[in-house]
Amino acid sequence: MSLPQPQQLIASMANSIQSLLSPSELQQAIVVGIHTGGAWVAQALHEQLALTTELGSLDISFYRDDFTQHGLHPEVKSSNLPDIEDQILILVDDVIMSGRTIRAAMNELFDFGRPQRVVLAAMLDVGQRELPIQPDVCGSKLDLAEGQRVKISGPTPLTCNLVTLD
Amino acid sequence: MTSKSASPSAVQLNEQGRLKHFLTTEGLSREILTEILDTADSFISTQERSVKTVPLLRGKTVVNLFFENSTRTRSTFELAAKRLSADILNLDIARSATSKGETLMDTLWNLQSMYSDMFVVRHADSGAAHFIAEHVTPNVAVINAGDGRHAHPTQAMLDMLTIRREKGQFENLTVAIIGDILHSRVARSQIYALKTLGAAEVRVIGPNTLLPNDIEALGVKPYNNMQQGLKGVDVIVTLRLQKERMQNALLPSESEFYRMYGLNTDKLAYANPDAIVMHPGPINRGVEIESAVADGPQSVILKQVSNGIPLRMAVMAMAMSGQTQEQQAQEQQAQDEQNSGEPA
Amino acid sequence: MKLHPQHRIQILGGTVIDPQSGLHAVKDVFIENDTIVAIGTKPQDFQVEKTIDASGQLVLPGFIDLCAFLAEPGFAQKGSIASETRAAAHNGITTLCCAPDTKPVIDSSAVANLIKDRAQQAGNVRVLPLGALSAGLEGEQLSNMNGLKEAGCVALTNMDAPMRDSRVVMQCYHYAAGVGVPVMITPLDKALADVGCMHQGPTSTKLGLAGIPESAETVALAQHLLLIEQTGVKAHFNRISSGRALAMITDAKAKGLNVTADVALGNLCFIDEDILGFDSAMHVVPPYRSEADRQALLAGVNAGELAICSNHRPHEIAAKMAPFAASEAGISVLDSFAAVLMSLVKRGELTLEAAVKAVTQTPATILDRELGSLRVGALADVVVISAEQDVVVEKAALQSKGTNNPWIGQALNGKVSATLCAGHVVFEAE
Repeated sequence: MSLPQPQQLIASMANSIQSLLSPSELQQAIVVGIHTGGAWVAQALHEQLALTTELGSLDISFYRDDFTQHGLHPEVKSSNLPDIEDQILILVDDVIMSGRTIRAAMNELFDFGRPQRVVLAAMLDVGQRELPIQPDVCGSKLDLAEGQRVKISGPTPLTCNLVTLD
Repeated sequence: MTSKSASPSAVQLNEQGRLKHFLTTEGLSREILTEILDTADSFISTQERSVKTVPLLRGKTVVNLFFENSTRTRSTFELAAKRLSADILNLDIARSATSKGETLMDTLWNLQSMYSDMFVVRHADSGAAHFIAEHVTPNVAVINAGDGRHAHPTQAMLDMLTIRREKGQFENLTVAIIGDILHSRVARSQIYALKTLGAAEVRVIGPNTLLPNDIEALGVKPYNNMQQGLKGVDVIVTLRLQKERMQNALLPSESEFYRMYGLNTDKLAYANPDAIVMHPGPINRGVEIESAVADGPQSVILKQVSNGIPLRMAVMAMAMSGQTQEQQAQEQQAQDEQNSGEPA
Repeated sequence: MKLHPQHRIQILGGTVIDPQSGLHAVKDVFIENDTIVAIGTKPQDFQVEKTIDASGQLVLPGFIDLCAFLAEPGFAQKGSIASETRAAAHNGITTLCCAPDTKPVIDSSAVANLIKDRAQQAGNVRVLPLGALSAGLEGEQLSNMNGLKEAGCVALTNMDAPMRDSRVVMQCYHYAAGVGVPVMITPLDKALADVGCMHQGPTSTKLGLAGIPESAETVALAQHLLLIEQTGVKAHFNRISSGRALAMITDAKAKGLNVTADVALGNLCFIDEDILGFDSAMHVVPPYRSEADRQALLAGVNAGELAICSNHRPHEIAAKMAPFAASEAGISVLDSFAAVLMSLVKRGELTLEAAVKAVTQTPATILDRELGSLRVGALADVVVISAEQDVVVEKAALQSKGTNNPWIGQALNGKVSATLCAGHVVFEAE
């Protein structure tokens, strides 16, 4: 199975966002990427949409629900967000699967302020959801065989590869 | 026949080499110390938000076990635990009630039975936190908030965090610690951390009666004279001088100490012009430091205080994570053993 | 001693070592009742009732321990005369001097007699009480020295309890010299030791534990040496811990002062660095000092200058379950005394002759008793030991009630196969 090229996916995501938000809404929207892959996708999307608003990034390490199982990630990055109070946010992740990352990210977002609206954009949706969370914008859907994962490398060039878990 | 010679440090790491207690900076690798500083840096950003709490330790119970009174240190641990969403219980246990080992153990076992996940321990005996972690409640993460003269690792690491944020690195730094090194757990923990993080030179300055014998064994240079000791120094750490040091034939008087070792503007000029001045607090103005220096442009004393919360959050989160990891590994092992014991 | 059925015993084929007579040869030993009646050739009409095969093993005089704490009366949770002397018998000890810091203190003939009675009932080893030098070990008043001497106390000591001042020390020595009872001294300047709980050195600085400087021992020692010279008391230095103290004692002897000294077995094995893990088992009095001190003390034993005592101090688990300084001091030694001693020989740190002499001839001379010798006519205190045999001290096999034995689980060499005290078999391995 060949994977779609990230550049095409970004373009298609940009189109979807443009049809979802009015031009005036889009102009003020803040793009927030989730560390690490999501931040790369967010950066590409930010450029594609030619936005002038500040780019945000979110590290959800302190919000994970699997902390007790996996411990603290040794390389926690700090979250970097502009003022999100009453703003329209485009929350961006590279791959959406269980939905737990998005839940953690939403919890963290609300500790920064109360946004007016959050749009969820994922580059790839591989299904296997465990929580009732669906992206508003999705580059492509993908069915993975058992043991397969998508690995995103970046930031430039942004590439997707299939890897098989041992 | 000579025994194990275990480093006191080994107890604080789990099988994956990650922190499960935080007892001393001695013997920890540069990687772990750097990880503590990096994690603390991340927490600093959460402290700048309107909502300062993160849900990392939600549902965990942290017990502040202070066998020695210290409202200040206890409060920063309490705040750090709350910012991590943990439940916190404060116990001030007068030392007289628990001077017998048995009572201390009973107290701890009772607390453990209440499903405590972490003990923050301050005790007047060197090695107390180590003893609790090794012998009493190994399944509870133990954070040393000061044991006798031995160690005060969170204070030392918040000082390292402050130095790194001010100076960017440790490699080219010459650091001088001034005052009562003999009784200072802070100084010992700072010395180990600075040596491991690669500081170029660490000096201690004070009268002979306040410098421990064999202090050179810790890899530092002792000085009796401020002019010589401060020459070329980038970081100056002044230590609190306890009033009781004037008794017991350790020092003649506060005024003589201040004249010789009190950090004033004149003596500060011996150091490099961009040297920073630190103090673990609480300050005795006019005893170990002059107000003009404590409040002056080179002082980072207030930054030390604000770095205390994120640093303690980092250490608590890391130790809890390492402790959880270890317990899961143990449960897994127990399960495997049980399974392999069953007939096929 | 209990009466055992056998009255004639032969010990065959062992290497007999007797430092007093210089004997070191494979010989048979013949014992009748409590006396060695022949070494070498079996006497005529010797009706053997028991034979001990000692081939490939050493046959040594029974060991003499100059200082062990038996915990009775007063410390039932730590041990009893029966349990601690049984551990001693298992380790080749046939004579044991017990420390006076019991509860009540051995400062009256009543307590001294009680201890002797209990020891006799237990029937393990010969127990010689050490009496208190000052009343109640309080360091203020003279004890009833003559009464204690008559009740069988072989020496008087204040153990580790401080004396109020040098005048009390001088008065005690002066009085003891007149009574004709020896004193045992563990020199320590209380003010210099202050709140110290370990040797002062790089390790105490690293651990932030208050140190006991070497000068706490040597300053006190200098003072005691002068007072001994002045009063003419017969004095023995018990459990010295530093090389410098040993050198001072050697000097004093060279100048003609009649003093002797011993070292605790633990101080020949451990050093301050063994405390690095805050191991409360290593909390002892006197403290383990530097490697240089340990080497000097080993050299002192090898030169025949020092006796070796156990400094046995059994504790229950709770006594050690506390932060280092708050834990009770002392290690339990008797369960591994013979094996540790033989291991020091095996590792080449002590010569066999010196090790044997330090626990037989030297302490016998110090006590001025006809003990510690294998010769015809001597009291039959004998230990048969397989010196190189691998042994591990198992927790379950401890005879002492003390759980604070630092050698538990360690590989050692030397297993006692039989101990005879005054001709009676008080221990025999299965």
